[in-house]
Amino acid sequence: MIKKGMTRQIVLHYFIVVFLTILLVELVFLFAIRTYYYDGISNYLQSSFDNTRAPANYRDIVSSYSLDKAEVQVLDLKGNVLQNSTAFIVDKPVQTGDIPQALSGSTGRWIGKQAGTGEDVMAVTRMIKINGDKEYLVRYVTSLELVNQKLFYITMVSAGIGVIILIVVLMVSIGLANSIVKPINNIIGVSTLMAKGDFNVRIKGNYPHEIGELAATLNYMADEIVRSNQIKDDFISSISHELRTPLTGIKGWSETLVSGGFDPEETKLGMSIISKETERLIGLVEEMLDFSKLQQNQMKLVIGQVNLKEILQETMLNVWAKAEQKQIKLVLEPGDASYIVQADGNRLKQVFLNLVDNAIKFSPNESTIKLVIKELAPERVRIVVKDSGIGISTEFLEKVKDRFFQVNPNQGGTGLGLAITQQIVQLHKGEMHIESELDHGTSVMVDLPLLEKKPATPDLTKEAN
Amino acid sequence: MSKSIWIKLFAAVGLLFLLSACSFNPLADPKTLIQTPELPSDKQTLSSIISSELPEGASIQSPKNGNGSKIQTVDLDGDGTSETIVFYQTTTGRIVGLIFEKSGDTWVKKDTIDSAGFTLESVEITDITNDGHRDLIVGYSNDTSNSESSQKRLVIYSYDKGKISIVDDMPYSYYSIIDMDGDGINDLVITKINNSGYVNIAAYRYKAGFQLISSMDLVNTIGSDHFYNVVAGKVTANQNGIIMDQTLGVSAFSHLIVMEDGQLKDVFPLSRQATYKDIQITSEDVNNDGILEIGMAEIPEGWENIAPTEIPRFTSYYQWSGGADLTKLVSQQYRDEQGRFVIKLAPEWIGKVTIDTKSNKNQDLRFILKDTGEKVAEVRFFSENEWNNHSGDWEIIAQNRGQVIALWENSKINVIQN
Repeated sequence: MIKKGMTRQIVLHYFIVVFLTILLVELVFLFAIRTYYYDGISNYLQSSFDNTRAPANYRDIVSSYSLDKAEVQVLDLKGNVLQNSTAFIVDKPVQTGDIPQALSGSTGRWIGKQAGTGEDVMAVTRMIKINGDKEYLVRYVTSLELVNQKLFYITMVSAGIGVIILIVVLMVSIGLANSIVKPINNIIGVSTLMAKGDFNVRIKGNYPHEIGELAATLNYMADEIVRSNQIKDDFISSISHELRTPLTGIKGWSETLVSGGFDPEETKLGMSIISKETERLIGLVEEMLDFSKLQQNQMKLVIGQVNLKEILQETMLNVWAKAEQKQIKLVLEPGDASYIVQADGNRLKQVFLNLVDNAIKFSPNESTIKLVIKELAPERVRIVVKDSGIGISTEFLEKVKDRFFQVNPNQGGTGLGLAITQQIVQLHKGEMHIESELDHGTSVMVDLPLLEKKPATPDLTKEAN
Repeated sequence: MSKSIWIKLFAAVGLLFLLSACSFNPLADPKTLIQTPELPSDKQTLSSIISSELPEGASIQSPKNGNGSKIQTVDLDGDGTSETIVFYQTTTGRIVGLIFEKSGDTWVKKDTIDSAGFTLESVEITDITNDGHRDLIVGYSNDTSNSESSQKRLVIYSYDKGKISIVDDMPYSYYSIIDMDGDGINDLVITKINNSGYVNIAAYRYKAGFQLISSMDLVNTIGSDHFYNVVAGKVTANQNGIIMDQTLGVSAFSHLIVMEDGQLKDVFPLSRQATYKDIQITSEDVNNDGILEIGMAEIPEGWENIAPTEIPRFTSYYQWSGGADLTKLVSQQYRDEQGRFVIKLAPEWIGKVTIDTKSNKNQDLRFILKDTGEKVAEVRFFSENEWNNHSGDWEIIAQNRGQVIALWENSKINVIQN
């Protein structure tokens, strides 16, 4: 027997549906066949009534109505058999259902068991008048044994055909069920392995339709898990490195300072290095804190009206020194209009600092970084940070915004910068896109909802200049 | 599942359908499948025992008159076991009878009746010897034609202790077993042609042999083949009699024989006048009251001077009321000459209805009241076409070969008996 499960269910459903269909069809068929035979016989007997003229003489009734293969009886209106075509007298009056029908003037038909023999018979009775006056019932009785035998045979044959159809359907449905269940079982096996932590297994085989999609999705899921694990590992190793470098500096200088014997100048240098490295550690930790806040949706924005132009100018001032080192020119355009957005000024500044810092990091010396503000659709403003640096290959373009992702993990950093930036922008109901061409530069576009646009103020323009 | 299994499977199913189509035709003509019902097992046993006793070529005979059963089973000797009586005709034409007695589940042949006749006229089983046991009264003739003229022989048999014995044997034309004198004992009334050629009626009573009680000759009647109907039974509420309908060319008249003071008599001494009818009408108990009626043809009022062949005659049935003529009209009917239909007048309208003289008995019959002339019923012969286009409240009373005969009845005056 098929074991419990989908195969059995599918097979059972098929079986039930086909069984019911066959049953109904056969019932209708057999009923029709039975009706055909019985009606055929009663019509034959009735036609004998129609084709026979009532004789003028009572004694001639039996011979007038005699019919091959049927017994003719002549009854009085009370059902007593007066004459019949057999040699014997029927002593008991006939009381079957055809008698009242015939008495009412129609042709009576009755199917049942013959008294005395128990044989299945059909009786067809009609009232006749002798000379238009004396009324008698003429009753044909014929055996249905052969007909019933035939009907039984037909029933058996059609039941046999039904059973064969059912067997065929059963086999087809088992095949069909297996074609569904086998891949599913395979997928279950593989996903069980995955659940146990083995992400190197993959679902093999080319399955069609939904099952194929399920297999592909599971395989993709495994790929992603492997990749994100890899990213996490990379992150841990790079963050360890990041943490160790300042700590080594701090440890070295603090040990040196403890041993004493340094002049104040040297002590000051050492302390400032310790301080700087500590600053760097704090920065790293804060970045990670921010990230974890964002992850847990715990970052609170202090929303106010922020002039984008001011924020960008401040950003430019903050990275001035870094840009100077690489002789990179920062350009803000246009310089004449100011855009007000609803935002947390500090967070927004963090966004642009990060973007411009990245741009400087990946730009060659003596290049230009452009910061462009432009009104996009109504009530939407776009800030573009455009560099002409090394660019990002398409392969990595989609992944740079992922947390912990670094194109080159050995370059330092947490790989959280863009992820945090992206999330802050999203918190401001904005969007961030990156367009990049390898070796030609990268454009990062930040779209924000615009509150209002103000004409340029002379002070700010002057300051920018 | 491998492909080859599927192919095999489909081949098997296909083969099955093919085979079933060859040997199995579900739409055989149903009437080829019927058969005569089987007899109950006891009758089958009897039938096969009878067949085994029949000589080769013999055929079981059904009596020409009376109960037409070929095989009769009764308790003849009153011993509580049934006997079966069968007559057969040998290849030489002789009629031979067999008596079987029931023995457990089977039947044993007890005796053979060697008859003198070639035609089995009648078989009646009743107690005529008044000994409490039924007797076998068998009529034979040597004539194979349907004629009633030849003298027939009536043989009365008695069966006792497995042996059949002849009680008496007499020539006859008609016989009746009926209590003529009202003493509660059946008499045997024999009608025959006597030596002088007249029709003689004789009543016998059995008392250690058949004793003649009374005998009479029918006046002016020679030869018995003129009787088209002889019927015995009650003629009044408390008297039995025999009615004999006699032809007279296409016309007829009737005799009524009763017994008065131990003497047989024809109550209509001038039968031809009292019971004369233009057409031959069979006397019988038409109203099922147990008393026989004599049928008379009656010309409806107004048709007296019209050619006899065109007259639509009423048939009136009279019961005898004791006198020398018929006065007690109990039923009036219009009987179609071709036997297609019968119209019976309701008892309260008997004698009050006639037929419109404009009627034609094969087209349209209008029944009207004698006093007012109001039409109360009509029988019309429609062709099938006319019937399909007919209007009015017509009821079919007969239908044959494209002809519809329908009755209309005045719904306020119901003269027709339903």
